[in-house]
Amino acid sequence: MNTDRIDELLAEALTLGAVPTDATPGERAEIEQLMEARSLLLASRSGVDAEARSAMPTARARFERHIAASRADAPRAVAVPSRRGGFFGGVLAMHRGMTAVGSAAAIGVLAVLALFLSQNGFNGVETASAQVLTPGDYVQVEGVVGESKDGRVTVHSEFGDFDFAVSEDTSITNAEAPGEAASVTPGAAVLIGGIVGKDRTIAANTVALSGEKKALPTRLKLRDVKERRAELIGKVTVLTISPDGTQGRVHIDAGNGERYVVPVDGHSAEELIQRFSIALGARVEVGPASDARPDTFRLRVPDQALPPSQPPGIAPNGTAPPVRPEATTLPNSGPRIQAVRGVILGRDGAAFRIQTPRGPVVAEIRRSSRILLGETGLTLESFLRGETAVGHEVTISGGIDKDTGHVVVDVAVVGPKRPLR
Amino acid sequence: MSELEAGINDLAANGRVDAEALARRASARDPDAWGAIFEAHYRAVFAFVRYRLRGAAEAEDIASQVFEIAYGRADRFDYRGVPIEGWLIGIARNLARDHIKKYARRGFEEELVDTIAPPSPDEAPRVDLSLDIAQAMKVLTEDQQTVISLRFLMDRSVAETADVMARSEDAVKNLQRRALAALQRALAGTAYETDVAR
Repeated sequence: MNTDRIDELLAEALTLGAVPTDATPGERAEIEQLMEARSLLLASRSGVDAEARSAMPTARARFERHIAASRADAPRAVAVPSRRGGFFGGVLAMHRGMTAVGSAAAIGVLAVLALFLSQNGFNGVETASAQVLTPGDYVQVEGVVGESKDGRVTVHSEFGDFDFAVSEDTSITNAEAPGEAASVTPGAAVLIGGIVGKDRTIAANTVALSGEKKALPTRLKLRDVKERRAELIGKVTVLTISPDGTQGRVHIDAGNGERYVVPVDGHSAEELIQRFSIALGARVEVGPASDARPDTFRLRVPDQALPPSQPPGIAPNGTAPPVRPEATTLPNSGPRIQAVRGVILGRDGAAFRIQTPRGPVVAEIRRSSRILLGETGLTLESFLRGETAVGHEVTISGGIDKDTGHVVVDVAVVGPKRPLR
Repeated sequence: MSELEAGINDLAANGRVDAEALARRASARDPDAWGAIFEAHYRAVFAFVRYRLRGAAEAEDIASQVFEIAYGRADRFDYRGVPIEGWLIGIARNLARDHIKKYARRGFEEELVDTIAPPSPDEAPRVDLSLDIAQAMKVLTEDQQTVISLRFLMDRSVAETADVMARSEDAVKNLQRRALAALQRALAGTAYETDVAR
């Protein structure tokens, strides 16, 4: 059979969608086989396209961050002193010779502050949602429910208004029991865990209500911490984690009526979840900036802030039915998302069986879940391929699936492997 | 016509920008221009690398790296020589090749099951097909994989494929026949239900 002719017949068949009528029976048989392979490729194409569409928001956010980082790193062609906007900009401009400014008094137990920041230490007040919510990031944030319409809820927070969207995958808890979307009513105190969309609406994985009404929060100034010269200690009020888990941001309430936005490394986000299960309300200290990334800080957790309980070893038999997860020991008051700390007993697909001090719990991982593997030696790739991680400690924050009672993972921090007992 | 070219032409037709202007803006690393390029090409780049790698997560990562590298090399791009899509695909091909070599050196056994997000029951047949195609693609040569991706996953014409691969159209026709034959042999014995017109 002439291969050039087969090439042409195939090309024609691919264009027409049918074997050309002048093909011989032998040629027709060969072309039909090739068309069969092609039809399988076309059948799979919609799946690939769906995967690509699903990947785009995260990829877009990653690319936007890459562009932003590249532009920030790029040398400036002309060295012109920048004009600073807002009150702080004016103050700083008047004291151009200063290399560090500012201090704030300690207020209460949680407010120990002694900041000495350079001129580059702060930005002025910026648009809240743009400063706080980066598309693709995971975020834990609190507020008070405002308007609610068509599954989209406006929340008033101390940094401004933002929206979150409730879907059928959203886990809603009310006073730590499974709740309904109808319970998300204006005035309710709410804590949201979810992924920030391109329009900065949060696609909520978890919505926790306290069952109580709350006054509208006072709008506070947000100040970026870019260069640290001394200690900053306070309470975490917002946590964000980048899609790859290597970076994050926290807002710190230093007790002086302002909020400091601190870029942190992935380890800090892991440690927050690992030690407190839920980041909001945790008391932390801003550590030194990384040598490699001078604009990124590591958080330290003061010893007295550590929770009392530690994960158990593996029980010999963990096959009991799922139970409600242990209650969190968060220092934060108000709505609480669920917290589970324990040791992984087994895995079935996306469901992990976890031994906790209160018995076995089943936790389900979803596409929007953030898995932080720290220094376990595990990789996200191996995890995606089915790594069971049996024996590893794990700390999870998330919601409850009201149908199954399983914990739905918002963030899971996998820790070291513990010995069998 | 590629998605990018269509997008560029749409923009030009709207009087907002022409193709060369977009290319110039891209060369100057204009974020808006790169946003448009990302929107026009991400899905195609993802599709190009999808079956060369071990799953959607890897494809997402490699496709993202393609745009990051392209942005970093933006000032070297000459629109007159190569369409932007061809340039991106070239980067994707090299990245995927390096990625596969890296894992081959580590002795990784490729696994293709994405267990984090198990498919719903009604999606199972398509997912099985997807896994089998990914396995079958591994027996193809790199050129055969490329022609399969361009022609049947990205829906590029013979002429466009020839342009991207720097081959003649006859060579592409020959290559696509051999690629489909190799794929058909690799998938032989597996029955699938498809609703695609043949």
